[in-house]
Amino acid sequence: MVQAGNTGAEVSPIIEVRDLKVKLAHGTAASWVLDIPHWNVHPGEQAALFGRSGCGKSTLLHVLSGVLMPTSGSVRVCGTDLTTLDEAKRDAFRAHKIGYVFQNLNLLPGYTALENVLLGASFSGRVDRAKAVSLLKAMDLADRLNQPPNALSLGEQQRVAVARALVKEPELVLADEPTASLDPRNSARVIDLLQAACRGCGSTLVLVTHEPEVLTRFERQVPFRDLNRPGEEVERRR
Amino acid sequence: MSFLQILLRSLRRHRLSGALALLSTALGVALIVAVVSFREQSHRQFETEGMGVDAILAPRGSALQVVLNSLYHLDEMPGTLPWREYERVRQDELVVEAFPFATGHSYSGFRVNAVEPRFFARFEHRPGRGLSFAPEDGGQGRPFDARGEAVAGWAAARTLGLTVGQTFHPVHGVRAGDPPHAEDALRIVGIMAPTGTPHDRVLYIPLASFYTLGGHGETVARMADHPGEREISGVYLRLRHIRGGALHPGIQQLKYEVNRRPAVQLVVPNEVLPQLLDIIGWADRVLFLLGTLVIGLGGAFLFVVLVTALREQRRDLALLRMLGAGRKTVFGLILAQALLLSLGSAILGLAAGHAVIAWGSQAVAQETGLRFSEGFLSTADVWTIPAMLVLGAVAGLFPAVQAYRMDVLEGLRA
Repeated sequence: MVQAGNTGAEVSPIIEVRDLKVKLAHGTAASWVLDIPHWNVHPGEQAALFGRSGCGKSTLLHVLSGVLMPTSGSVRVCGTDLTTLDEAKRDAFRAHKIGYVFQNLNLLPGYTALENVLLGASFSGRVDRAKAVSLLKAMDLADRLNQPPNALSLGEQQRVAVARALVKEPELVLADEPTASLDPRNSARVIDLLQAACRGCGSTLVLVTHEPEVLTRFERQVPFRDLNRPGEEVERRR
Repeated sequence: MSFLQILLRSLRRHRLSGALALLSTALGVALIVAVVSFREQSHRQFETEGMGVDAILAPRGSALQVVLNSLYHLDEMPGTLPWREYERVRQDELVVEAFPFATGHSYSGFRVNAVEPRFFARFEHRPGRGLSFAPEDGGQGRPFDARGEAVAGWAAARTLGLTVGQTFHPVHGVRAGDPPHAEDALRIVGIMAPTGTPHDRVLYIPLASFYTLGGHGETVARMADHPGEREISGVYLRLRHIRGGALHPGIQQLKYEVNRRPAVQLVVPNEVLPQLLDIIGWADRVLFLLGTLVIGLGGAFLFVVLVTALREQRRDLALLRMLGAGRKTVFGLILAQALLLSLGSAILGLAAGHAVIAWGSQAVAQETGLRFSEGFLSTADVWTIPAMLVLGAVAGLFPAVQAYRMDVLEGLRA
């Protein structure tokens, strides 16, 4: 249970993956997408997973968030083995423990920036308007609180998404290529703010990217090809 | 953000189509609410109030025809009956009041009914409510007390523009083209306060004047001063009631005795009116069916709106799921949208239905004498909200199940 990560500290991992295998169906065929023998992330860490597009990075985040159940193996996140939970409990787990930042188009239209942030805490029962406002201010969006998503630039939208992921002060923040659609300047800004906010909230950050500029901003860089070794097996589904 | 806030935001996203579904369903609700209310109020008035007449002594013939002529001033009496029948029936211990009348005349489309002056002092158009000429009740003048005088019902006076002091020439007959009694001008001495009954649509003349109208001939004119020789159209009867308001059971015996005689019959309006309601009931059944169809179409439209909205909201719902919303939450979100829209339809339809009743009641009262209240609580009022919630649940169930079964990752890719 007690493992040494690359930080060298002896603490219980916040993410502990063992013999994780995920096979996904594609039409009539199915293929192994993930095969991760062992991977840990410790509390407070900020880890960047990098690799080519389509190699399974996002799928790993889906598994870690409890949206996707692995085909086999164990996945302990925040001390909970997700494979033992039913879907409703995984939904509740995600509501309380996980903050999620998507690649793009991840704000709900019809809601203002502030309301989008408040939504992030709505299902955990920890709605804190003052906290939401302070996070948006920290994201330099003090004058954009009541703007709908379509009135915000892509960079601003991603900063709102970061605030939404952090408003409930989750133990773990999962960011799925959050800067993929941003220019380098906005990209750097979003990553800086995301990292600072996670540190401020005491949240662990796992970020997926294929951008080298983003990768350099992380102390722990995890090449996904070293982590994941899916077989070439492809089964015909009957 | 509470569930309600999220729900309202979702509704706002497809407000135009939602509003159209709501309005179309509300239209059907309004139609049904108005039709049912009019129907139930009219049935109630027909069945319980009887316009102050418990029974009618009438010539042999169709009982329905008797009711239509004597109470609703439509059609014609099947014949006449001799005065002695009136004298005989008024002696019965069950009879509280008896008012002989003679119909068969008209003026400008309104019927003329000949009654005795006593009618205005003693007749009650509803239990405890007599005929009034008091200005504070909306009346004018006084009852007639001499030949050559007449009284106009409120609606007749209003429609014909009759005022106290004006004269008119009654028409011999009730059909267009029937000849007027050109030499007989009757002077209006009073206009009755509105009663909300067909009595408002009648011109009343003295029974004695009826016989002396020119053209009736000497034999008939003689009847004016020799009541025992009179022929009359019928007799309005007020009978004894038992505690609780029901007619005294002795009426069956009275009916039996009267109906044994060859020329007369005793007609009890409350027994005959259901036939009338059956005859005219097709109209409100058609309207009710129409309202049901409109509601059904509204429900189908609501279903389409929800299915379309679900397609538009797939990604939103998937995002909510990623933020921690459970399947039951998104199921509830879609179902609640349907229920909220149908509840809105019900409330709007109820309001519109009662507005129609308020607006239509005046016109109906003027045309038929029936009084309707927008405050009347009908069966439709009671059942509208539960029924519309069921409709909303039915319309929303399929899209809600689709939302429940939606795969989060597929939704995110939508």
